[in-house]
Amino acid sequence: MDRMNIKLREHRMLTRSLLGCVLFCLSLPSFAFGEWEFSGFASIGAGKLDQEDVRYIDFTDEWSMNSDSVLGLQAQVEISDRWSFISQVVASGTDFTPDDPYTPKLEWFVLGYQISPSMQMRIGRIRAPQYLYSTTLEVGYTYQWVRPSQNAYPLFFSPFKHLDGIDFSQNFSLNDVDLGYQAYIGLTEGEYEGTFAESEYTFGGNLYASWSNFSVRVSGQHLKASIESSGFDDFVAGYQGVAATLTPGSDAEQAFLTVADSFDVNGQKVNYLSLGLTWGLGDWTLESEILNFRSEDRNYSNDADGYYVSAAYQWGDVSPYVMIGEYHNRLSDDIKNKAMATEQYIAQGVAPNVDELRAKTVAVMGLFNVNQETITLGVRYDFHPQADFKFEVEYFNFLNDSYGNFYPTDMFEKGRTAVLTSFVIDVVF
Amino acid sequence: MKHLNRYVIYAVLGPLLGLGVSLTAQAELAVIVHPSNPVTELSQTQVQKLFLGRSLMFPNTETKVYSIDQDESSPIFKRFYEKVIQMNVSKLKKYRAYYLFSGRGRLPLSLDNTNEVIDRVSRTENAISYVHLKDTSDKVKVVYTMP
Repeated sequence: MDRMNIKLREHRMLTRSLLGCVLFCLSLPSFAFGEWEFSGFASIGAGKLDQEDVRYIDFTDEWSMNSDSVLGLQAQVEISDRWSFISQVVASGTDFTPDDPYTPKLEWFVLGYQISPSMQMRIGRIRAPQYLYSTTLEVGYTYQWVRPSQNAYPLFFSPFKHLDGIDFSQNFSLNDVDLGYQAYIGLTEGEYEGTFAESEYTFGGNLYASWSNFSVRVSGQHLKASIESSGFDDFVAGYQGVAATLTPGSDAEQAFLTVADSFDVNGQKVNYLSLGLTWGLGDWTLESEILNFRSEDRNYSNDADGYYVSAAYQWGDVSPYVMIGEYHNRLSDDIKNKAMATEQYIAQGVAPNVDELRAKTVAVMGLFNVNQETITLGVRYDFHPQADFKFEVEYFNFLNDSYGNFYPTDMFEKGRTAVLTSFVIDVVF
Repeated sequence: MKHLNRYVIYAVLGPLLGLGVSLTAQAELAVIVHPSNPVTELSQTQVQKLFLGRSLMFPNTETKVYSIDQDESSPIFKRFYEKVIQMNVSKLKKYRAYYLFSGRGRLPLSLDNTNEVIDRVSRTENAISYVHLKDTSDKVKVVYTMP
């Protein structure tokens, strides 16, 4: 009960602070201080799942506000005709790290140089432009929905949402077609649900073409990643423990140590491709993105595919929308195969604790094979020139006994369907 | 008879008055720059690129563009973006927020009325904005018009 009261108090305080902030923000246009220009964005969202004992982002079966609530502030200055600087700090309610909610994080810190009217180079911290909306992921006002579809914006890739490096972009026209490209290289690091990931290098680029009301964008990224996951510490300790009981230097010891080492990833090559389409048809806007994620098939690694298709109709300030999508994630069989290979040294039935360790390994690795279909119905209402209100209901259909991107309290629980109801107020100022 | 005359008057004057209102609403739009700007003429596509931030410098120059908007609630703002830029205000808002927060650059300065716009453009060498053609003077240079 006390815990519930504390939670309620926290929510009330958060609501009051965010509402105060939004009202203050709405009273201001973006303003300039000398040559500096300051602007920002905020979202206050809440949502609830239709079932108990499960978590998705930070949603549970009780109304909660952290998943979509965010505050961002940006400062920029044009130093000269060619040089400019931008810095952006974002405080998210949920960023999948162990930090407290709303801990401010630096998302942009970049010096830009305008090489020519259409060519620009930047150096510093930039948002990795993997998807159509990845550079404004936290700025809800810029997109139609409460949040971009997780079918094409996989949560596990969030550690790589920005990079420290350099980028180069150019746009030009060919008859009636606007064309452009962006190329970048740098380093990334971040955390996601107990997994720390960093890259030795990251490079990528995107191409886009826009003709009339149709635009297409292709984006690719390659990185060499190292991943440490504290969530597997018990498994690592288990296999190391068994190895310690075996003859040092033996093949048997090596087999168990190999499994233990497989939960960490060093220098794994990862490729990411996405295709984005936008089509304006009078009052209709169609948008779609397709994701293709591939990583080297060894140790703890995965492949993912997903897509969404969204149709929105603009009716004055009101815009209803529907979105469908699908997502499939497959974990490499490498760890499972290595675990099963230890049977040749300690056969099944000889040591119950080893049997249990192997069985749990196979089961837990299976949890990462997730498959889901989603249907979202929602409406966006632009009630103010700088603010919108969105309400949506997302239906999840989990396939192949998986639980999609949800985290059940009982990890062996199988999902069938779920419904997430959520709303958000987005403000830019 | 009286009623008939009134109907005739309405029938004749109605369309004329309507036309008058229509002409006022359709006053010619003019894109203006500082008189010293080397640019003499812009195409509609070039105007679109400059106001949407897709081109940051005036064509064939190394002069960075300083774009200025009319007040967002003014009829000329709505008409300019719908007719010349060919983007409705709702899409423009989302586009502008995307542009600003994805680190592309600054947004146009917004001024309250045409007098302020003309005054600011006449004092700013790299400025570009839009007014009704009838409101222009030799303090600014017209580089694009749309009926």
